[in-house]
Amino acid sequence: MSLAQNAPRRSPVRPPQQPRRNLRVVPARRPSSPRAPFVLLVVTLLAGGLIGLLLLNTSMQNGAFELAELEKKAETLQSERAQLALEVEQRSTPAALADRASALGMVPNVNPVFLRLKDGSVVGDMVPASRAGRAASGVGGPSPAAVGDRG
Amino acid sequence: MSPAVRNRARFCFVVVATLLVVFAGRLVQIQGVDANAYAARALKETLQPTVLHADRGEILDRDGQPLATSLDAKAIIANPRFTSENAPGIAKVLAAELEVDYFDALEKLRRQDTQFVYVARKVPAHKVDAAMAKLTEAQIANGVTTERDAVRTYPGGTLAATLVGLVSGETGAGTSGLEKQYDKWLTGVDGEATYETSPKGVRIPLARQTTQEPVPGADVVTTLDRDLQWYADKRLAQAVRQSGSDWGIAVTVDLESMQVLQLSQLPTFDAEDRSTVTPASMNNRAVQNVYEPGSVQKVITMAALADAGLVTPQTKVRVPSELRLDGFTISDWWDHGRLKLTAAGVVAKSSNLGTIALAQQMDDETLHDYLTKFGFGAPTGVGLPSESRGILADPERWSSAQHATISFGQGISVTALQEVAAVATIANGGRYTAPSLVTEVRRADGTTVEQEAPETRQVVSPEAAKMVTTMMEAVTGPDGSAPDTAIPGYRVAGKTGTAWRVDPDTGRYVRGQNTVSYIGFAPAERPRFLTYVVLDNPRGGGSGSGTAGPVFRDVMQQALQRYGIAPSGSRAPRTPVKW
Repeated sequence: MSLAQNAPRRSPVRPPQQPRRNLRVVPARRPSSPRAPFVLLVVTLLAGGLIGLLLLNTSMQNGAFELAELEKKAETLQSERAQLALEVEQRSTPAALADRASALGMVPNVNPVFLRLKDGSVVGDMVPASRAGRAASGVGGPSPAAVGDRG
Repeated sequence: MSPAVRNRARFCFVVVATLLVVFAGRLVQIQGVDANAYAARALKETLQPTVLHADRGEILDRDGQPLATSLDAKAIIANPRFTSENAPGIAKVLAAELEVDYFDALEKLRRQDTQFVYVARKVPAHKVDAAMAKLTEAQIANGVTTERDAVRTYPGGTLAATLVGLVSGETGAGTSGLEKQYDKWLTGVDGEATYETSPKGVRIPLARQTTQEPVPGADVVTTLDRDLQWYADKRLAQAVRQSGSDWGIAVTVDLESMQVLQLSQLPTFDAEDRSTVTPASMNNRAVQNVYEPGSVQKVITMAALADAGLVTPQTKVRVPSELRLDGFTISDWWDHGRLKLTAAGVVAKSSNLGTIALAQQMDDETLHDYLTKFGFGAPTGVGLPSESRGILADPERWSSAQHATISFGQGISVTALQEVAAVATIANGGRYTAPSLVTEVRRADGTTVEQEAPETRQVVSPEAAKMVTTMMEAVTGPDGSAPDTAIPGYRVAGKTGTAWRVDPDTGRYVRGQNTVSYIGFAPAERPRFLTYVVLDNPRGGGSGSGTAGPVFRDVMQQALQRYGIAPSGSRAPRTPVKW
């Protein structure tokens, strides 16, 4: 840069000459950085990647096993739930309820009475239900699967 | 280098070069040409297709309570070639876990002539899984496999069993009743899942997988009221037992909607106990059995006559003591001389001769037309398999005796549901509506399958229907044939039927054998329910009022009570039965 500024002043009319090569002192070579940290970095990166991959794989495998196990468990629970629901259904059938009600000494009432809201009068005969009553005998009858000509 | 050595080197070079060319060619073939086929083969080794079974739809009562439902179950299969060695150990585990018989299992596990035997079927899935885990733990699971074996359960047992029907134990398809009729909708569509597994059978995560979800079957919602159904089943069973009848039917319909609330048919079976299933018990008698209805049919004749303006409840009828037609002598069920009855009296006392006298005013064609409009001679389309159309002869072929007998319900064969629909027409002001048994077929996604609206038509005028209702009320009155069928507090319109029974084998009437029935609706002033009870061949002949009547009364009373129908407090009209 100093060369470019000085040249016109020295010979303003002369055609520009080939600039003379200035010799400069080559800067001393910087001492090379130690190799060890770089190698260590690369090795660390590689090892890290490898271990990471391994861990990822392992965790995925674990995940798969856990998934399979949980799915199986869900299936078992589902099946148990269905079984329990069925038991509830069987206990709430009219036949089961009637059996339990009779066991408690309850009898069907065939003489309901109605309260007429219009005039507050009671419609129907108030007759206490009894075990020997008509409806009660019907309820305790034979199993429907055991009568008739079944041939 | 000597020539010999040079030659050897050249030879070796050629050999190696040739080999390399062959390898390169093979490489190109495998990687370039056949690559896809090999990849597919490799994938096939690890791809596991699994069938995802679709659940069968449920059959529900009108309140959504299940009448038929499915339970996930499994079958245990053994290959005796592998299991015979550890048979005692396996049998012990299975006996402890699954309630199978130890010796029975032992015998199956050791069977010589086969490589496939069911050790246990229809076992709840979780129990099977537990048993398999035990076997694997003990290292004796070799040769024991499981298979899905869905089980259809009927929580109610005998409840409407014949009507609901059964499914085949092998295929799971419906074989009778509603299970058969609605099989198309109840059956779902199986799905399939495919995923890659390791050689050990563990699913490979993030590998390709496809799942086609199964489509569960649709639920069938019936019109049945299972509490009323249960009561009617029990009450009818008691009557069939006491009267020693061959079979019995009790039907109750809600007249407002013509929905069947209960349809009790005996003999029936316990759907949870296959040993009780017999051919006779599978018969949906309310639509498959035809029989001569007898005197119940008189109300249909009266409705036709009233609609044609030929009769009113007060019409005076001279009833002879007997009548000879085409060489047959027809008489009434009680001996009498010449009687003076009103038309209401003819119905109330159930006089065959009085009915004939009135029916003579109508020609064969017209009577046949009315019967057809009342639904006789055609199936009701209620939605049960193998429904009969009954037997209604063409009017051209009627003899004068047949015209007479048809008017009081002999020489015509009907199904119970036809009779119900016909008499319900009278209760509903002369309007016929086909009875229905299913309200909805509901798919799993909430949409419903379109149902055909039940057929409906005006058959007789409301005035004619009203007149016949008045006549029927006289039946349960003090001068009627069935005063015991009255329900305290309510007005009941009814009609008894004691028909000569046709022997199904010979096609001839059998002296002393009857088909007895009772049909009625209540409250008569504003009909809500109709109940029909039929008992076939009761011991000693039986009678419509004495054998079938009490069942009608008890079932009807339950229906009225259950649906909170209060008595109106109005009085039945006092219609004279004599003049």
